[in-house]
Amino acid sequence: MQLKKKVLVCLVGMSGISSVSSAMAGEWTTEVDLDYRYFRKPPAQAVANSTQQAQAAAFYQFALNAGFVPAVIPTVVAAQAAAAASGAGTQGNNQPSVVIQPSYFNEWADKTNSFSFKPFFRWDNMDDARTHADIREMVWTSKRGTESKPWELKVGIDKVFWGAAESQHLVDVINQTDEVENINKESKLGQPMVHASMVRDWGKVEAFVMPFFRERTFSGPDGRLRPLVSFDTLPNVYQSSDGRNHVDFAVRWSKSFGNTDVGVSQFIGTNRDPRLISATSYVTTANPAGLYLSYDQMEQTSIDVTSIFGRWIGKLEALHRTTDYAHYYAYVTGVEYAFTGVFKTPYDVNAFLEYNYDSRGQGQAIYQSDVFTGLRLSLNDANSTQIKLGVLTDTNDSSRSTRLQVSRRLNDHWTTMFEGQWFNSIDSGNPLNAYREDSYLQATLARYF
Amino acid sequence: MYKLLAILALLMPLSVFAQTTQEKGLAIAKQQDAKNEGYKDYTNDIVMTLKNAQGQETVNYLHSMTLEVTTPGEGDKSKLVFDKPADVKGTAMLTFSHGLLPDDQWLFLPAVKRVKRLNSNNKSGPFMGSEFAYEDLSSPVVEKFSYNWLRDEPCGEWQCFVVERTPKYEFSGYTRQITWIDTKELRTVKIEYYDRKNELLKTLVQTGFKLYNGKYWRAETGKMVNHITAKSTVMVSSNFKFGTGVSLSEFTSDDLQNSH
Repeated sequence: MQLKKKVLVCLVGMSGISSVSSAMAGEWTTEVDLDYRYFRKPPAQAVANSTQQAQAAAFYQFALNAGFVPAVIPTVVAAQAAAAASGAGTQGNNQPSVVIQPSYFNEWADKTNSFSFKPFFRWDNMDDARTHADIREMVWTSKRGTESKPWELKVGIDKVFWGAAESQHLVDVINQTDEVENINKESKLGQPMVHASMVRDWGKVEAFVMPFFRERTFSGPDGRLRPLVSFDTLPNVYQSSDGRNHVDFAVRWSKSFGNTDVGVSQFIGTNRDPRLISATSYVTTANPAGLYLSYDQMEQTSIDVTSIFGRWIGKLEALHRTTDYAHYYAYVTGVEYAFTGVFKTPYDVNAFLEYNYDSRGQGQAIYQSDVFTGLRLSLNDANSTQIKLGVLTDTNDSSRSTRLQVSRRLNDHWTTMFEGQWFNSIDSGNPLNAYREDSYLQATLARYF
Repeated sequence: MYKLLAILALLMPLSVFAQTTQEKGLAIAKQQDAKNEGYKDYTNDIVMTLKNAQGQETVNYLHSMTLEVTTPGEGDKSKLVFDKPADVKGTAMLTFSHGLLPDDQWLFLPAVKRVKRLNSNNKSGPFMGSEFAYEDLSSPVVEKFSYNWLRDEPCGEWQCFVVERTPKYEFSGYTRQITWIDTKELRTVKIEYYDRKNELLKTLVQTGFKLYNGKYWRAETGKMVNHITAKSTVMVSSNFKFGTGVSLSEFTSDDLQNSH
């Protein structure tokens, strides 16, 4: 309730700012989305009439389901937790929400300096945890150095994308995932940073210093797309004594060699992916298993490659990650093929085939041995109509996750989007099992001001 | 002796004009290219109006930056930034055009802040749903075509070379194009595009030529009419600024996200 109030106050504040925008040199634009998510089935429940043992096993499975490195959870405690957790929250089937995303941009000093500001608000009718605000961007960009030796400095809150693949964003590590937005990990929280970059003949070198950590967002007890226990309710613990003030570092080199773009990156700092574990010190009546999320220190080395050969695009993302608790490697590699002007129409069809591997193995990671097949149909019309279909299939247990996205511009101010997400024949040992009852349809109407 | 000289004298002018129609076509293309040399860079604004067969209009706003590349056989570097409609605002496309090699192309998607490498072999695809294909907007490089001069004829108030050109690059949507280039200032006045079945598909007519920096001609309006669908697109360019001093570092895929 408090969050909702905050958002309203912010909105009033925003409208105040936009009304004076004409007097300022910068430029305001705003996007408002009306969202409606519909879940066909009621949420997953703990199995009734089961023995304590079965409950314990079921709960242990649910703990794994989030895709984190599992730890041994005492059987009896886990069983208690499963019983306590079942029926918690008031998860419904209909989830309307509203997004407001203003954007401000201004530049000065012969365009060598600029400032960008992009706050984000979502008000969600079902899930209080999904009612949230964030600053996606609030960054000052300055082009510095001499004409022959230029470099660029960015200071503030920003978003940085690394990667090449379609089925997942494996090596993309600078920003924390705003997972309560969408489980596809494409929504990211703004990351405070100092970011310096330099482009020379030998490529681009970038350095990142990130002084403040953002915790991942999760669906609350009333929300869908979550395991039996909402991670939003669990305590967050840091391995580093600096906690969320630990200073993280990253460096990246990237270069375009004709038909091939390559990026190599190193990240040292707080792992964006939390680890789910338990300790008796965290046991409460609401959390009888003593579960908590641990943000560990990690080192990640990664490479991303995109290469074009005629109508083919080859893609690779690979990483090696080390923490005190695990070290593993993972990759996603695949191809995209472009069919242009199909069936004597101006339509383009792009077909995708990717393979995902994670050395942590079955049950420990969603993308441990999964094949992604996808199609993107672009009608190339004045309305930019586009249809995307992707299917992720686990090669070991045949669990299948399907996503369909359709977008079409109605006119200069309105755009519609549709998203369907289906979970089919999800194996009980697959991390996606937590979402097995959470297939949904979502319609969005976006208005641009 | 005199006889020999007389024969030589007869041959001389012949050797000067003993130019095949292909050579003449190529020479015109090279002259046109040379005339545009040395502009360094320019920026301009674009308003693109799409009209369907029923006369319904869609208007897109863009702005563009072009940087001259002086390496022979290489095309220019150009950046297109979308301003309207609002849902694509800030979307930016960077193209390094080459001769026979496929162009290098990147697209920046502001919603996910992602720079994507594009497959530029999709040359025949429509640009933003318009009647302009990507290859129609690619910066002209002499090496991209083979040429054949057909005739000279009046074109409006001017006299024009009529030159047929055939794409030499892969994945073109055309078998050939016929271009009308005015003999005096070498401005491209009209282009007819013939599809893969060698049927007349589209006609581009350029008007409102203006001279910049005393040397560089640019058309204000380009109207592309599709003869098969009866759709048309009018592209109006304005606010040309030459020698703005844009730096090479602004034409990198990473810098696309700084486009506004």
